[in-house]
This record gives sequence, structure tokens and C-alpha cells, in this order.
Amino acid sequence: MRRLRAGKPLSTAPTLLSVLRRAHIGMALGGVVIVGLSLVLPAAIALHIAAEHDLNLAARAMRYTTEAAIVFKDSDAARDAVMSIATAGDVAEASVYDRDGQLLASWHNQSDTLFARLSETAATVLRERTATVSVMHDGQVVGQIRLRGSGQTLLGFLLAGAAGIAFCQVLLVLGALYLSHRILGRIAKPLEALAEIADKVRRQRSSGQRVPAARIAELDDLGQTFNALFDELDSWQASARSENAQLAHKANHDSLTGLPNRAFFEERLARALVQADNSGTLAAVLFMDGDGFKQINDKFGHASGDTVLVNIAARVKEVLRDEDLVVRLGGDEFAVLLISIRTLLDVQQIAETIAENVRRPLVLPGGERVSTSLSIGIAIYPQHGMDAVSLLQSADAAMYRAKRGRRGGWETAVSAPALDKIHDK
Amino acid sequence: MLHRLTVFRPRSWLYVPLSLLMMVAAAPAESPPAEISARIEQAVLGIISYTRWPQGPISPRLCVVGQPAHADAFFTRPMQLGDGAVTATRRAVQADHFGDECDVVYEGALAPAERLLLRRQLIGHPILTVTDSDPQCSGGSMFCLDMAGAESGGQVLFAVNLDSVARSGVQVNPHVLLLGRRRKSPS
Repeated sequence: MRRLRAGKPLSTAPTLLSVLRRAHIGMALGGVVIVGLSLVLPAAIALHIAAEHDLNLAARAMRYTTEAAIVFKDSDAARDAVMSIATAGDVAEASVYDRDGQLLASWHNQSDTLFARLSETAATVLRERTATVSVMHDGQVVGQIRLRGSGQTLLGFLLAGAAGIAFCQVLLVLGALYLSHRILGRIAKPLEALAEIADKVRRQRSSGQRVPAARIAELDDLGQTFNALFDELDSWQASARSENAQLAHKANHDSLTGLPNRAFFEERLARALVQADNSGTLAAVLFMDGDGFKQINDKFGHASGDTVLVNIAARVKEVLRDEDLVVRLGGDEFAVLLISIRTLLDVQQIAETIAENVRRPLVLPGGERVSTSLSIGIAIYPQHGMDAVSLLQSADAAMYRAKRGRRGGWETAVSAPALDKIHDK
Repeated sequence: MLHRLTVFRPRSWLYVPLSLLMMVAAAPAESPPAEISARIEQAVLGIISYTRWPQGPISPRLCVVGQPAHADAFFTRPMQLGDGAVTATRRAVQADHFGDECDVVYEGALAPAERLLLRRQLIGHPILTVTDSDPQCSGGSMFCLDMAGAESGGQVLFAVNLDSVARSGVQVNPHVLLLGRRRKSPS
């Protein structure tokens, strides 16, 4: 988005600023040249004509001032008379001839400044103007005056015109630069905001931010279109997220009882072991299996079996703390994870409470009253296993021992070394 | 211009070689007397051409009095002036009705008594006076020719006595007065 502001353009295409600047400067320069020329040229032509007129006027004026001097063939007087008018006008050279065509007097503009020399050159380039008048006396031609214009006025005007045009160009170029910056601000700011927000949305996948309103209709439309697109993206994302959450829940939970499943349990168990190590407390796993569930299923039907399972799940959950976890491992097998345990006795008491709570009779959908029970195997970390797998095995083994003993009771796993000995046998 | 000149001034072809000669001969000190005379004639005709008499346009009568230095040209041929001509005669200062018979008086060298008499003769008459023998221009003549300049090959210069011009009764174009006055101060 910075690329809009001069910076380092990523593409080789010209920046917006350079395009705007070029357009504005071109317009300013072209405009001044066209307007300036259209003013200066006609004025120069008018001035040219006026200068020619002036030269003729000067010649006619000289006709009177030099008359007597020519009649008396007085060179000095003729020169003075010519000079008094020529110096005031735009005259480069003046010559006075007597009636025989002999040069009587001549005057030259002797100012040797750079401007005078330039004018001399300009006068030759710009078709030098001349004026010739005859001097009359008593109805007779007594002499002639020839003038050559200096072109100083015209050159001065042209130079001033060029300077004026140049000055205007400088002013207008500055104005154009300022204008292009202002316009850039109006165009670029909304675009920058748009790019920034689009970038944020791309990176973070979500954004409460929206493109602000712009002062240019097209850009505003663009921004609003993007905002609508962002809204749609947000809603797509929200629905995708909730779908994902549903899928994740389905993957980790049992649909019948609403309890988490084995995968979820194993994951939480692994975390609980680490936590127990860190806090120096114990963790316990209760492995539980329903007693006589198969008979209820066979006798009252699957719906009744399901009711029994849901009831067992609810009753186990009832007696646990919020931080404890009960899961359905499959069939009529359940497991409980207890954390932050101090003593084995505490665990055994909880197991007893669970067993008692489950033993209470329940009413099936058909109205029959049945009572079920759970056989519970207890394994303590780290006493009965150093990892999740061995801990579950220990609890499983303890549960089977409980099942073999009195139904609906609980057994504590034997310590790991002892277990090893049993396996060795 | 030459064409017009040939129409109005049949003799002007004479001036072309004359003025050429003038240019060539400008550097050497002395000019031939005829040439000086011609230049003086030109100067006098020039002054006459800028003078207006109260009685309107006239063919001026030029009277030469005293001993002029170079007045031959006045008499060698008729003097053309514009469309008219100037007639020249010699007069004695003592002549009767002198004032009535002249429009222009060209004064040569005069004795003081004669000059006084001349002035008296001219009183009350509109007459243009030109002298060739009063460099200071204090003898009462309106125009005083500078012979020194003419004899050394230059133009015929002149001075103007404005008091005399004012008293004369003729009108002289200020252009000429300026020409005379201007010349007087620097030289």
C-alpha cells in the first residue's frame, strides 16, 4: 500500500503520483505556452506595426526640424535636429541627404549595451524597418531623410513576454505539483485504507475494521463493495468455525451420553500426568465396567440399554468435581480421570461414592425398575504406572479383579513392580 | 526627386558637378572665388526663402550696396527662387526712394557714415538686410554672413541680430533664426 506514495514501487509501472504529476505539469506548461503565445504574438504584431508607424512619425517630424539645416547645407545643425528626435524614439540610424543625394548628416545609436546589440541583431532578423521621407521647402524637394528602426521596443516586449511566460510556468508547475499531491491524497488515502484492511483481513482471517467512506464516488463504491465482501467473508468464516467446532465435538464425544470418548481421554490423561509431575500431586484413573448390562439389553431392548448407559453417565458425573473427567470408552466401559489428588484414600472414597450412586435403582422407559452396578479399578500415578498406557492397563487389571470379587465394588491396582511379577508368571 | 528638380529648376544640373567639386575640394585651403560667390548666393537665397514680407508673396528685389566681397554670382545669371525669381541691382546708399525699391539689401563694406545713412534710409520699410562685412553682427543688419568659413572651403555660416529682425517689419521663419543663433554661440 505504501507503493502509492512514491516509496519503492513493487512493479515497474509508474506510480499514481508520477502519472498525476506528469499530467498536471504537462497541462500547466501547455496551457501557459498556448495562452502566452496567443497573447504575445498578436501583441508583437501590433507592436511591430506601431513601431513602423512611430518610425514614419519620427521621420516626418525630422522633416520639419531639419528643413532649414538642409537648405543651408548645415551638417551640424542637421545632425542636431535629427538627433533630438532620434534619441527619443526607437531609431537605430538616421541619415540626411541633400537635394543632390549627397549625405549631409548621419546619426547612429551609439549605446553599446548588450541589449542594444541584441536589438540590432533582432532588427535584422525581424525584417528591419526603414522609413524614408522627402524634405520640402517652398514646394521643392530639398533633401531626404532615411531612418532605420532599432527593434528595441519589440525585442523588449518579446523578452518581457518570454519572461512572463517563464514566470507563469514556474508558478503553475508549483501549483500543479501541489494539486497533484492534494489529489493524490484524496485518491491514495482511500486506496491505502482499502489495501491496509484487505491485507489485515488476508493475514488475520478476521477484522472488525471496515473501509472508511471516501470523498470520491468511485472509490467510495469500491470501498463499500470491499466492505460487503469482508462481511461475507466474516459470515463464511463464522459458519465454517461453528461447523468445525461441531465436527471436533463429534470426533471427541460420544453421541449417546454426551461424554467425551477415548481419544479425548487419552489426550487429557497425558496432560494430567505432566501437570501432576509439575505440581507434585497425584492423578488417578478409575476404569469402570457396567455389571449385567448385557442382560438388561437382552431383556428390555436396546432403548433400555441406552437409558441405563445415559443414567450411569449422569450419576458418575454427579459425584465428580468440575475439574474431573468422565468418559465413555465404548460399550458399557467408562473411565474417570481425577487430578490434584492427595492420597489413595481420597480416590477410594470417590470410587465408593460412584459405586453407591450407580447402584440406586432406576426406571426404564417401559416403567420397569432395575438396578445396575459398576466394577471399578483404581490406578494412581505414579504409583501404578509411569505413563498413560501402563496406568490404564493397571486400572483395567484392577477392574477385572473387582469384577471377579463382589460385583459393584472397587479394587486398587497392585503396584507396578508387583504387576510385573504377575506378568512374569 | 531629380525628376522634379529638372521640371522646376532647369539649371539644377549645374549644381551636381558643383557640389561634387565642393566635396573633392573641401580639404584644400582656398576655394575659387566663383565657388565662394555661389555659396553666398545659396545662403542669401535660403534666407530669402524663409522670409515673408507684409505685402504677401513677391518676387524679391535684391539691392547690393557698398563693396561686397563675393557678390558676382548675383549678377551672372537670374536667381531662381521657388517658382519666382530674384532680381539683383547695385544701388548707391545715397539714392532717393531707395527703401521703396528694394525688398532685400545686401551690404558690402561701408564707411561708418554710409552705414548710418543706410540705416536711416531703411527705417519704416519692410526690408531683409544681410551683410558680409560685420562678423560681430552689431551694425544693425539682420543676418551677418561669416566669410571666413566660406573662404576656407566650408559652409557659409551666419549670425542673426534678433533686435534687427524684430524691428525689420519682415517675418523670418524661426528655423533660420535658430540656425543662426545656434551657430553663433559655439564658434
